[in-house]
Parts: sequence; structure tokens; C-alpha cells
Amino acid sequence: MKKLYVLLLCCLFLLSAALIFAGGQKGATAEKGKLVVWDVQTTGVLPGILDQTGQEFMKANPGIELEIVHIQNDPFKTKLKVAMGAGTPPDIFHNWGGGPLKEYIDSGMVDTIDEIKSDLLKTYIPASFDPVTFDGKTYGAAYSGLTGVFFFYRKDLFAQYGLTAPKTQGEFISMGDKLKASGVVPITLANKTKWPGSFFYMYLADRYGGANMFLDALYRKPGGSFEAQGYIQAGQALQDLVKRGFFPPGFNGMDEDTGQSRMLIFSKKAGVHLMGNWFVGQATKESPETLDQLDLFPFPSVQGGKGDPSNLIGSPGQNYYSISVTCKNKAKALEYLKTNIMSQAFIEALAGAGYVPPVKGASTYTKDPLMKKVALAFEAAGHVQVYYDQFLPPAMGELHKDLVQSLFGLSITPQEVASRHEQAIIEETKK
Amino acid sequence: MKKHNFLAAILFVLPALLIYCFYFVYPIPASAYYSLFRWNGISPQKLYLGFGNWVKLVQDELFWKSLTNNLILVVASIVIQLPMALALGLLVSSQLRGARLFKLLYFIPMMLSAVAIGITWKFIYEPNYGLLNGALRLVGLGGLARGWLGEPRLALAAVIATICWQFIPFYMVIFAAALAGVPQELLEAAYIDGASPAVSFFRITLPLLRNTIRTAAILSLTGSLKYFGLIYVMTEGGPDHATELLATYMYKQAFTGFRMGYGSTVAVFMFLISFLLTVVVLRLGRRETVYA
Repeated sequence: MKKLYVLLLCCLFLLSAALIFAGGQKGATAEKGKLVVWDVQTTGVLPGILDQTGQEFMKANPGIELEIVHIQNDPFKTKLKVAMGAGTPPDIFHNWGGGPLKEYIDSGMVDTIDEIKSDLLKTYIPASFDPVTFDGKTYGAAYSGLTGVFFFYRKDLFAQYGLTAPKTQGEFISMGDKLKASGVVPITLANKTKWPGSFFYMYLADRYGGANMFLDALYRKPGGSFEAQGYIQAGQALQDLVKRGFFPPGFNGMDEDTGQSRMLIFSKKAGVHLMGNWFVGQATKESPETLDQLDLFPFPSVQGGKGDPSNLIGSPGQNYYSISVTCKNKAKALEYLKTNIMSQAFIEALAGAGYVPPVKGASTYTKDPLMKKVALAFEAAGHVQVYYDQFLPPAMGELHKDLVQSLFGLSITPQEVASRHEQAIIEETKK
Repeated sequence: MKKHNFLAAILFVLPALLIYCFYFVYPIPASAYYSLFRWNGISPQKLYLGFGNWVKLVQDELFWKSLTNNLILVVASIVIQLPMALALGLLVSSQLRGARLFKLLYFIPMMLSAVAIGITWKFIYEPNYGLLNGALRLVGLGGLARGWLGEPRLALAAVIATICWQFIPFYMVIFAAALAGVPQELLEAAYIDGASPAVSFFRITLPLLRNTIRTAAILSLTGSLKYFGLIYVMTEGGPDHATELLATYMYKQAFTGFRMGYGSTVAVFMFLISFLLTVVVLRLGRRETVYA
């Protein structure tokens, strides 16, 4: 009798397990006639603009249901990874291009969009495909504005202390000294989040060593190294800013995501803020009264540097849509990207919302003077370097951010930072 | 009749048991299996390394740092949380006026989610506007104002303080419940015999709470070893890995760094050390209770 129970129990267990597995198979991949899109746009106007494209697409394609799911940034990364690992990713998924996308491509989870690239190139600027192009194949299309990193400042604060936007490192430092002497924090920075600090390292490296120093080091070109002189100089210049006390106290524990950096700008307690142009959107929402006082200047040049001062750190597309290999309606997914994203109406909606769309003649669409400056800077840029942490292989991107945070904390020397980067890339290429 | 009961019991337990097996038991051997591979978590191909990940783990400085931080957290949690919780438990179960109000007030942190607590405390510790520095400046101690979460030397202590704030109420409730179970007659008898409150606490109440204390210590021990939430929200393990714990390190390796194999290795290590320490504490506790 007892054996029977045990047997029964085992059967039940197996049955239930089978049910769980069967249920798990469904995941995010939709049945035929449905497209599921995952993005990370949960705030501001972008979710609305995107939902609008979904409505239009469904109107033009009866019988196809397009479901756009907006997921918060950090949970999204984990969620997508789990869905990918389980082989059930959404049909169209958000990504930032670069290293993490490459991991998905190498695992055979991402389809190219080469079929529609020539169509897209009629509107998009070619550079916008750089972060999603690997070995000559393109795996995604940008769906929001391009981003560039600039120094933002308040005109009223600068007027108050008789300052002008600095063009060189020397001018920048005397600006900082003056602000500090007046009891204002020269540069605000919230570096718990790590990537804001990385902006300084990337820019200084570019200004000292030129745009190719990074690419040569990454792609292991002859003579290319993360221990190049330019990187050492960048590290030294960065620590010089820290030693001068230009950053707010405790900046390595302050959080960019909750706005602890920009609060100092809004309250006139800090002079300049090195940030992507999404900062303007944040200011619009959080401190509209600051908005007409905001202006920007590009990262200053350095003495003896090889870098072109017009070079930008940024992303010529920032947010991308890619199609997964499990998509059962690839033709429709491509059509959605082709006709609904970066349509005339979409571009105008983006521009109206303060984005700089990655399309030809972007500066003619934007009316906002700050955004016009951003668009023009992109048009004039000698090179646009995508953020290291998004461009490098993921594990190395994390290491890079950790190292730069330690560099800011003065707990590591520029030489050590350089050699740890170098070791990491050697290990990555060994794979 | 008896067999009938057994069957009914199994049927009721089964759904929970299945979920438990699938989500809690199955992942342990699965992680142990993944720890033998170099794997990014997505790719169908895994590269077999044998014990390569384990060798790497032993040589990994950051792993040792995380482990050290974790052990500091364990010790601090037990040494700070339990005595304070016991003191508060005594306070709220006393006959003092307002004890019930205090019970309610002290319980509030327990009702907040870790993320809410983390964000709130991030603003308390904020160096420029933060409540803590503001209060220090207000009473003329501005010289003590610090970037609490930004300085590697202070960050771990600052986060531990918050963790204690979060968990003390939980243990307070456990102790308060246990105190309610201490027979009043014993205390009264002691009182009549002329025992001071301190004597009756140390000779009667405390020995009777031994089992509760042991349970609380194990909960605190395993909880601290697996701790993740507040640290991730408040510092993400930074600055300069000063607050890195095994769980945050594992998460970063497995999910942000696309190193599922190595992340699994850290996870298995966490399991082993929690398991071992729990067994040790249980053993130690048992030996003592023999003559209690």
C-alpha cells in the first residue's frame, strides 16, 4: 500500500514538473500574428510616442497585434538576459549596442536588419549604425535621440562670478579655482553610479591621446595599448581635478539615478555638470525654472594633446531596437522598424520632446537652442566615441567603471588603472 | 485512518513542495553544475573548465574582499542587532506607559521595502543636503560631516547601520513574543525571594530565551551571508568595492558581466559557507541546552 502512495506521489510530481516546464516554454515569444516589443522607456514622453507608433502599425496591418512593454532600465537587463537564456526573448528588444549586444549576437540570438538598411539610410545618419554593426552586419536601428556628453552650466552663476565658458584645460582650472574660492563646488558629480565618472576619463583620454588610441588598444592594433601615454596622462589629469577639490565631498557615494548631482546645479551650489544631453530633459521636469539659464560647452582641449577638440563622447543612436532570431514574423518586425520608427511624424515628435533624432539634417528639426547646439556639435564632430562601458565586452566594461571609480577615490594610480585595463583586454581576446 | 491522513497531508503539501523543489532545491545542484563551465548564460555552448572557476575563485582578490565584508556584516549583525533587539523587546513588552506606541513605532522599518529604505538612507547620508550632515552642522559638529557612502573607510559601517535599522524590529518582535512566553510565576517567585530585576533577567529570562536567541542568531547569520538588497540600492558594492558582498559580487559577475559560470561558482560557495556555519551554530547551541 505504501509503495502505491510513493508511486502516485512520483507520478504527480512528474506531471506537475512537466506542467511547469510546458508553461515556461511560452515566455515572451508570441504566437503568430503578434509582435512583442520590450523597451526601457518608462518616464517622460517617449513611451507615449512609441505607443503611438504601435497603434499606427496595427491600423496599417490588421491581424497583427503589436504589444509594447515598457520595463524599467535595471530590471530590464536581468529580465532580457533570463529570457534570452531560456530561448524565449521578445520579438523586438531594446539594447544599447556595443559589447552586451555582441554577446547576444555571438550566442546566435539576434537577427540582422540588413534587408532594410538601405531604406533606413535614406533617413538615418550612417554613424547611427556604428554601435550595432559587427563584421559588416547590422543588428539594430536607433529609436530615440542621439546623445552627447557636454559640460552644462548656469549662465546666471557664471555671470555672477564673471566667468566665461573655458576652451582649454588651463582656463577650465582657473574657472574651477575661482568657483571654489567663492564657496561653490566647481564640478558636480555623483559617482556611485560610476558611469558619470567614466565620462571624465574617456574625454581626457580622447583629448590627450586622440580618438584612435582607444580603438587601437581595443582591437589590438600594432602599438595600441591601454597603457599608452595618453591614458596615463588622462589618469593624472583626472586625479589632479580631484586633488584640487573640484568635486563635491563624498561624490563617490552620491547617486546619479536619484539626481544627487544635478540638485547642486539646480540650487546654484555647483558650477558645471559633465553629462549627456538628456540632462536637459531632466531639468525640464525637475527644475523648469533653471531651464532658460542652462547652457553648455564642449570638453576643453588639453595642452599638447593629440585629440581633436571637436570629438565627442556619446552615442549616435543611444537606444536601439533589434530583432531576435525567435521572432516568427520577421517581415512584419522589419516593416515596423522601417515605416513606423523615424517616420516623419516620429522624428517631429522626438524633436518636439527635446531629443536630437539621429537623422540627416537633425539641426533643422530642433528648435530648442540647446538641442540645436548638440545637433550641430554632432554634425561637426571629428569622431564620436561610444561610452566605453557600453562598447567594451561586458565584464571589461564593469571593470573599467570600477577602476575609474577607484581612480577618483585616489586609491589607485593612473599607471595601475592603465595596466589593469590592458590585462583585461588581453584576457578578453584570449577567449 | 492513519494512512488516509498521510495521503491528505501529502496532497496539501504537494503544491508548495513542488514549488520549493523547483525554485529552491533544484537550483543548488544546477548552480554546482554551471560552476564547472565558462558560460555567458545565453549561448547554447558551454566550455567545460573542470574546477577552473574554483581555482580562479581562490585567487580572486575581490572575492576575498567580498567574503571579508560579508563576515564583518555577519559579526556586526549578530553583535549589534540581537542585543539591541532584545533591549527593545524588553522595553515594548514591559508595563511602561506608551510601550505599545513604541512597539508600533519601532516596527515601522519592518514594513518598508528594502529599496525604499535604501533610497531614504541614501538621502540621509547625502553629503551636501543629507539629514545626518545637516544635523551635525546644526549642533556645531560640522567638522564630523562626511561623505558617508562615498568614503571607502566609512561606507561599510554606514551601510551596516542601515541594515541594523532595518532588521532590529524583526528580532524585537521575535523577542517580544518569546518574552510573553516567560512564565510570570517564576519572575514573581524570584521577586518574593528578593532577586533584583537584573538578577531575575540574567538568571531566569535569559536562559528561557536561549532557544529564541539561537534561532535569531541563525536567521541573522544566514540572512547576513546572503545579504543583497540594501547594499545594491545604496552603494552597488562601491566605492572601490568597500561594501562588496558575496551576493552583489555574484550578481555582477553573472548578470552584468555575462559570466554565468563564475557567478554560479560564487553562488555555490555562498551556499556551502551558509550551510556549514549554520550547522556549526546549531551544534554549539545544542550542546549548551543539554542541562538547561
